[in-house]
Amino acid sequence: MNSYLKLAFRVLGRRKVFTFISLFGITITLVVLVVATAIIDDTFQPRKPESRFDRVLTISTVSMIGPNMTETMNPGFGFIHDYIYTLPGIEAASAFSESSPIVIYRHSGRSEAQLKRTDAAYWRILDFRFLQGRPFTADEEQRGALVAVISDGLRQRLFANRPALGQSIEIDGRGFRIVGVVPDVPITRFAAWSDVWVPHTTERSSDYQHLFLGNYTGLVLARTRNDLPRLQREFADRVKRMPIRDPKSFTHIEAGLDTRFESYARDAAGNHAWQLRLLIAALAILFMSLPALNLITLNLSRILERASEIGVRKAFGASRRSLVAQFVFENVLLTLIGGAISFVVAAAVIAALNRADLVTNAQFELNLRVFGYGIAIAIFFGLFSGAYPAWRMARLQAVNALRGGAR
Amino acid sequence: MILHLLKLVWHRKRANALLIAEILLSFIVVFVVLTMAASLLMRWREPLGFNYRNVWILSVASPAVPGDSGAADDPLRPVIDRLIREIKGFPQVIDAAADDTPPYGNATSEGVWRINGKQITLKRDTVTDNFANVMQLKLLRGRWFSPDDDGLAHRPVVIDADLARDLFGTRDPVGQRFDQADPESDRVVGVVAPYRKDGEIAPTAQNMAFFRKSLAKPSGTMPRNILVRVRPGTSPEFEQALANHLHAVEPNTAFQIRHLERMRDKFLRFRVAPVLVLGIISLFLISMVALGLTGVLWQTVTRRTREIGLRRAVGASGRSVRRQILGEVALITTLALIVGSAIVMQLPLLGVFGLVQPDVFTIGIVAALATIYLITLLCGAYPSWLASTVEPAEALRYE
Amino acid sequence: MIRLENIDKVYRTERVETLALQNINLDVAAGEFVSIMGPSGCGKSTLLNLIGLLDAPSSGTLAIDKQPVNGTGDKALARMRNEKLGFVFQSFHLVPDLTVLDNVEIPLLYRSMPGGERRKLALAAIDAVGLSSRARHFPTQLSGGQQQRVAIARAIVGKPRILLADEPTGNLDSQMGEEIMTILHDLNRDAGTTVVMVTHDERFAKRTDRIVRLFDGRQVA
Repeated sequence: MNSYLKLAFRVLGRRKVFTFISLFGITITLVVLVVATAIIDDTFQPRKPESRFDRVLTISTVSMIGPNMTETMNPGFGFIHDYIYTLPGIEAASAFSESSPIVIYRHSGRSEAQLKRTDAAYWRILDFRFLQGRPFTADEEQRGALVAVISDGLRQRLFANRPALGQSIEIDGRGFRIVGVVPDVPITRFAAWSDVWVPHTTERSSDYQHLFLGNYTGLVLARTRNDLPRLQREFADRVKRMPIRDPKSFTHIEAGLDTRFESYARDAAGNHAWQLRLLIAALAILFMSLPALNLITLNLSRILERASEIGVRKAFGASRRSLVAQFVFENVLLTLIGGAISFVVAAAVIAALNRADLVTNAQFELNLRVFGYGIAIAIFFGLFSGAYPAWRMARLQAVNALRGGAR
Repeated sequence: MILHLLKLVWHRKRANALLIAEILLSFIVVFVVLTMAASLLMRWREPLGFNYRNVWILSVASPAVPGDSGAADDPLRPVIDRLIREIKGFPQVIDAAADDTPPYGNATSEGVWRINGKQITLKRDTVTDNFANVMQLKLLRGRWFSPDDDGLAHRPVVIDADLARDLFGTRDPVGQRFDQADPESDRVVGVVAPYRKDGEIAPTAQNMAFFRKSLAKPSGTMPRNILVRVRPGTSPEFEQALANHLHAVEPNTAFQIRHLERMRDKFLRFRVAPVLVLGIISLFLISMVALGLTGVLWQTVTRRTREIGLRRAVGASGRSVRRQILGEVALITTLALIVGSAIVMQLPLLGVFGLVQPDVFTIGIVAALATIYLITLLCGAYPSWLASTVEPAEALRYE
Repeated sequence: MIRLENIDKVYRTERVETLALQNINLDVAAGEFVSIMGPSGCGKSTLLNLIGLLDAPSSGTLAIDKQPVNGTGDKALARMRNEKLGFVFQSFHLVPDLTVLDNVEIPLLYRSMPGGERRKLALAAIDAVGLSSRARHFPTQLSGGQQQRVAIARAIVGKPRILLADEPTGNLDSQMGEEIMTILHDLNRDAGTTVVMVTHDERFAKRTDRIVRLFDGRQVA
């Protein structure tokens, strides 16, 4: 192993420019892949405040389907109250409204923020870490108390270093007392994302409580993960038996409780035509095959250039296997070096992404898991881009190699 | 000479296959990015059909009831009517109107209608009378809505110039029936300049049709957004004063005030950002390919030292050798680009690029071709210069 | 036809200076067939390279067909190589990716000549070496002797006045070597081509008009 290592270094050092070019290609590819992995990892890992979401079901769309038209909207509060709250054998159920933009006026100016109207059960399903204060209680929810929980970022914008708890902020023309402060939430945590949370009962009119379709989302916290399929089936049964309020226009209802992954899929399918999804998939493949092809070409060139050296070794008894092993070793070494460099660069890119706040409040990180994936990808790339050239090299006949290489 | 080079390249095509594949892929990547960018750029320059500056949106927060039953009265109608009157009472306000799907918003009403025997895709918006003034629409023919329309037997419709051309060709649209099937048919009363609700990044030819909602008499579900044009230079404190006043007047109604310019920023940024990101990644990938190409070409020249030496020995000058290498590079690139263009031409047939207009498509291809040629020739510059410096004696000494 | 006066050739590396040729004086008349002989490393190939304008002398003067060569630019040299000289190498140096016909055409590419005429001349040259049946084959499909004949065809396709051959029979067996020598002698006799040949083979050398012997870079009797 040691001799392989020394040999590999010497070989790579002999053709410095070529080694640099290969490293450049590997590094760029791996940086893009590692950053993408970090983003995907962050999006799909259950993390505070949604760390319980591996046993949570969501419903955020209900479709009324008729012969001439389809109406798709969020469920209304009435829907969730009637059909979700009452599901048997669950730990908790909650309703929260879609984040809506609001303006908070203060003497110092106006601040824009996102607002969610929730119930008290919301705080049992999501596990926010309260920096100050507490969530609102069931009692406050029932009374329609004008209380609010705000995010730390909003607190900073409104109050800077002054105390926030107990202060009042004007939302929609009324004063809400701040009872709690939580950390900023990344936009990728769609159930939790907001800047201000208030009880839904503070809506100016109570019409929303009877709506079948509206702008709410329902959450169900199951007791264990195994309960999820049962709950989904139970709800599907309920949907079949739901009364249709406008039987002239609509004939049936489509609604389902989704796991986290299913809700992403439903989102993706709903928003884009299949053509666009195909285009995106094709683009991804295209973009990734380019670096792969580049590396294979470079490696092949490297091999062919050393054809005479290979021929000489073969003539002096080196077995095919040892030659291939040495070449693959070199390749993996190069890829690992490139991987090391790319980790450093990827960390910088991720830090810049976080600072630029391109994805609101998101804090992507290069944790151990991402690191592990990164190494696996690097090794895979090294083997993959070395396989074909190594095979070509192994087939090189000694005589041809000595004569000056295959063409 | 070109034929000779072609033969060389052709007989070496297996060895060059990987290179060709790489150039081919790069061409497709560059084509995709350049076409997206060209599409955005070309759309950006077209007029919007409205003025977004100094416009505020007051969104009344009440989830719409599905289904638009034309005759029934929406309980919000008197509320919206009162709000608009109150808003217009302020000297800072020039005008205000209600609008169902404001610009730079996520709500769109689109449909396929059967009009005058044709199937036409159009966008529709439902607005009150002052909308044209608030958004500063440009009226081309006929007239806009007016409160007198409350007494009309038919529904008035205002269409934009693109829809007028699609439906009526060169005939005067004013007075024409808008929907032949309906006996109480809608009628066109005016034509405005093309209106692009999604703003600068929207495809041109939106085929916009405006329908009228009356504030005075029941006419079904009301639009929930009130667009307000304020005088330029209005102080920011006015917004809070307006909000407070309106809350006092309508205590049971929740609403939020937003600025159309800020909505435009967010909307555009959200749609331009992916193209930018794609562009940056492509830039890195292409530079990686370019470096790799230079390296491979360099290797190739080194391996062909003997052949180069031979050519020098039979009378090729240094410059001739350089042109030969560049010529081979150009030929390899041309081979790759022929295949690439063939692939790319299939895309419209697949319908994927229905989003893109033909002239943008053409610009995209031409630009991508030029870029790839430029890059490959640049990559060949150093290796070809290297080839020209080969000394025949040195080269042929490699026994 | 070829005149060398006081030719020296020195090879310089960082540490060592090698005198490949010292004080060479040579006069070759038009239509002569000259052999150059000597042990390995004595500078024969270097001398041939100088005559073939593939390399430049360190000092001394060289004239081809009464035209002096010293100080001529790259383009002019290339033209002289193209028009006046034909070179046959020991290891053939054929382009493996081109057919025999395309290989033979190569010198003509560097003259402005229409494609049809090029083709005619190339076919004629191939015919002169007896390989017409193989015109569309690739070098790898030919034997060593046939490849050398292709190389000769390439060297004469431009009707050069001087043919330079560096160990033309070195890689061939005796029978093929005979064939090659026959072709060279025929050219010399019928076309009046001046031939300068480097060889190891005493037999072949004896059949030429004159033998120039080198030892350690110097002429010997």
